[in-house]
Amino acid sequence: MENSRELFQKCEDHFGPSRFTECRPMEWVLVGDLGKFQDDFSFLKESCQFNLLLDICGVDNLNKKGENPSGKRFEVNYHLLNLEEHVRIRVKVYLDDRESLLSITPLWKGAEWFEREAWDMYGILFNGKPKERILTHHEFRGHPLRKDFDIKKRIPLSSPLALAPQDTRKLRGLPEDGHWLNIDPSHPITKGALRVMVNLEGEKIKDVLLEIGYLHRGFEKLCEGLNYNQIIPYTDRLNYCSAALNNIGWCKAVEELMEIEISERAKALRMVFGELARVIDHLISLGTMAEDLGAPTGLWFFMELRERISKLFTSYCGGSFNPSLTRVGGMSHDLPLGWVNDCLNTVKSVEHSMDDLSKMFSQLPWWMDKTRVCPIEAREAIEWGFTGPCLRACGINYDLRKVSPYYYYGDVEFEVPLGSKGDVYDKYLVRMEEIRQSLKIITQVLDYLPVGRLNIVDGVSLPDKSEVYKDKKALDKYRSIIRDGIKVKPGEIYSAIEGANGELGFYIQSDGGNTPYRVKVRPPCFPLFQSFSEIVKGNYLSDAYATLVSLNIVPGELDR
Amino acid sequence: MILKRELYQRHGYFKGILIVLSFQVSRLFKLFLNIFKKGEGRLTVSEDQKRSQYKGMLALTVNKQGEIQCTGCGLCQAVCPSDCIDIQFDKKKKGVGAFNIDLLRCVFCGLCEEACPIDGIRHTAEIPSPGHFEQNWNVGISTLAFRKSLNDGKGLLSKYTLDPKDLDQENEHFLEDEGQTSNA
Repeated sequence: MENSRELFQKCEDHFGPSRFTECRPMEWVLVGDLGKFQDDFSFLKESCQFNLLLDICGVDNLNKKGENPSGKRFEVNYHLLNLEEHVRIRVKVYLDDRESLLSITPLWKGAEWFEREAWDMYGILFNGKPKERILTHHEFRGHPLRKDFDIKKRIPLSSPLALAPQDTRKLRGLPEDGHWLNIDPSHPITKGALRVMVNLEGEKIKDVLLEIGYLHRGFEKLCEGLNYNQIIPYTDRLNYCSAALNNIGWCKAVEELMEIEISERAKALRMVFGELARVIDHLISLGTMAEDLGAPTGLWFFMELRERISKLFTSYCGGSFNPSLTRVGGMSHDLPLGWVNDCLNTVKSVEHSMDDLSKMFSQLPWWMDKTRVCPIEAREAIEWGFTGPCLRACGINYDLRKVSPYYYYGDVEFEVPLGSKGDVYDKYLVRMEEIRQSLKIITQVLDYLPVGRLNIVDGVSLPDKSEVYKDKKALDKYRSIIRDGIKVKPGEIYSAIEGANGELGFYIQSDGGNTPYRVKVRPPCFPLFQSFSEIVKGNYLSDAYATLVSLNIVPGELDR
Repeated sequence: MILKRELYQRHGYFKGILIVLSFQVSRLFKLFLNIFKKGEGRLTVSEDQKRSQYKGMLALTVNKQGEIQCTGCGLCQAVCPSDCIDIQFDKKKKGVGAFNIDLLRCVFCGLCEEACPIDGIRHTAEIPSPGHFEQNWNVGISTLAFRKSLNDGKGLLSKYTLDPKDLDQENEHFLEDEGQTSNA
């Protein structure tokens, strides 16, 4: 705490109090200056140890209610994280249509895709040049997240991106020789549609080109027209392997923006369902890893465990893949009678089976041979913006549940498993151990499950239905919450939880209405997949498959 | 906790096969035992409860007289994130005139069920299949409330039965400003 105060003082002395403020505890804001752009970022990175670039997010201020302090149309928010003091800083830069930003790719390798996204969605120039498109088709015209973009306009798209297109090769200085191979958008190793193009020399990979955006559904644009509660079913579709964690992340962000406190029981239930979702995500990830590396029965063993846990979701809220179980201000409903017993039984049986499975896999000679490939250095991982199990596999002890505990994570006992080399085997080991730790958390929370009413926040949670049936005042309240949605005061927030793949962050800007003005998801897969091309360079093709599954790329979250 | 690699020592292929075999055999044995095992007497979630939670095809409920429970207030239409519900309020009848759901747009989130104050719309345990409704997915009132799978065409009974005879002064507010949202 003292160190972070010192750090704050240091930054304040350097930037001056007019530019540098603290908007929330452990969340600082710096208003960037186009003239001193490079200096600011190198000071933050080198002197203040803001090592990890979380997100770059554009905002269009065209229709925004309230006053615009800069008078400029666009703003770009850079989110940086200090891994030692667990402080986040938001660097806001205002710019006009024709102004251009300096690219920060020399400082952070992982910035490249985020900058491409900012160009794609808002038309923000970096180094005075347009970038390649990333989420939309390469023939697409216009910038879809601008407020004046006509969403009903149809743009004819004719051709798919050629296999390693000529201009891309020229742009990146790729060699002309070698054999290009398409790992198609519907390859069995991917959990959705991704495109990986590899240049082979013999069986070794010389170069990799990635194309994403096949599953881009415009989640962020969609959010701008929906109420805060209506967005919850759509967050299910981000990372569909652990949908409950997305629900929790979204609701936590909105609640922090509204500064409301939810009931103790709701917090505990969110922890339970979040951990169950994490277990499911890891099980699917490990199962597909086993299948793709040549042990298809492994998938069935892991999927059978997943099935047991998803039965818990089905008996609670009726959906195993798309549960939409949280609401702003609490949960959708209380636990059914007997659910806790079911859950404890399942946890016990899954824990037992996990021991069997780790006995089966962890010591298998061929499993080790196939997975001890493609190590990542910790320094590299931070530069790319890794979070979650992949970062911990490199040996960096960073888990949001431990370092900045939300809900009751500070009160439960669990350990953070760490790998040493960051190769596929380490990621496998970390995920196996994390499942056990998650199960441990679930039993601890269920032992001390708080009692009382679930949804207690006045003006946000719906009144009880039996009450509504008798009382006209309660009915009016009920109607106004449903019809008009929840009003959120103007402000902005970046709130993150430890998702199954890493830090899942939601950046929300509200202008006081019942719909958000701007929503940005910080998907953990995005920086992970970006690093893929560097990690596998010089390795065998089969190692690339192993790496791809171990990174656990979920296109629903990657493409949004 | 640093995961030590030395803990996971290598063993030969023969031993590996033995480990996997023992795992499989013990698993089979447990499965076999489970056939004779009776319930342990613990409280678990009942099958009925599970079925009531399913988010399957939508259905409109009926009251004791066998009429549609829905009053056409339009709350479900207002809350639907995918905009799949279309309600027309009938002013003469003082009730719902037309109720159409585009099931291809529906995301089966359960928000409408939560929004209805009188349990008028509900998710059933019925899972939509390609053969349903002869591929006409924009379904109307008769299919939603009185299709064959719902109590042999009689419809599901609502939890809150809104009977005109039982309706006293206190409960009349349900019929007061209905149609506001759907007209707006």
